[in-house]
Amino acid sequence: MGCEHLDEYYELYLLGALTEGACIDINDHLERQCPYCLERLREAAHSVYLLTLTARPARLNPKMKSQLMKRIHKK
Amino acid sequence: MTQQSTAEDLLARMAGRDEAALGELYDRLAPGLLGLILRILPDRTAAECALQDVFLRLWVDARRLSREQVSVPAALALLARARAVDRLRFERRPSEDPHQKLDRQAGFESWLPRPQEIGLLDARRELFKKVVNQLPGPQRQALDLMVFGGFTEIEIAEKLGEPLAKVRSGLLAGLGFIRHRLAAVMRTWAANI
Repeated sequence: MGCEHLDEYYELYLLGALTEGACIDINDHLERQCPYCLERLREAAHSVYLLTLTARPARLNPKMKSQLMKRIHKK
Repeated sequence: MTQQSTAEDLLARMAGRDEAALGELYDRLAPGLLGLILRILPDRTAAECALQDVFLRLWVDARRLSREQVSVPAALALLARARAVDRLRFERRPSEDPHQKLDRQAGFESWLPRPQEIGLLDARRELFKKVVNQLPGPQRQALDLMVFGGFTEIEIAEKLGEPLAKVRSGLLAGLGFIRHRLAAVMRTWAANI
């Protein structure tokens, strides 16, 4: 089966907004490394990235960075 | 004047276990990512924990992601949103396994945007924010519930008291509008190279 029936859904898939059943088709295509789906998903990722940019940056707690560095030593 | 390293240069250094590169990348991108996570998870402690998880994940996967030449800001933004949404959904329904788990989806790194694509979007960040603001109010509201509220289309329909078909068509129309505007800018850019 082609991918045309999935065309509108890649953004919803990427945002986790589809029900699990509705994701199955896209998952199948991705597992087969379907070039069309991979390309459309990359385009969808552009839109999702753009939407995430609408959030305002936040001030960091200075302790967080040192906590992160301690955590990577445990890895 | 020395040129600032790109996020991808820093990732390549992280692949070689360079902790200073992780620190530099954190300083550069963490404020934006924390802002994104806080829109989803208002609890500051939970948001900070999710932010650390995202950078830890990047540290562990640095070699693989660097080899695949993915855009680091895009990978981190998508991972941060997915991690925050998973956590939010778990808080809402602890008995259900959240199915987003973006980084476990098949071929995650093979469809992540490339650095040059995201560089273009970042250079036009303010223009694209205006594109999002041009969406009609109800479409914008439904998109916000999906992107930052972590709701599925069915949950949005319930929340708004609207039929699922109407909510879905509104979401698809809003996303289609953004997609077409992005594609137009990308085409103009490609034609100018």
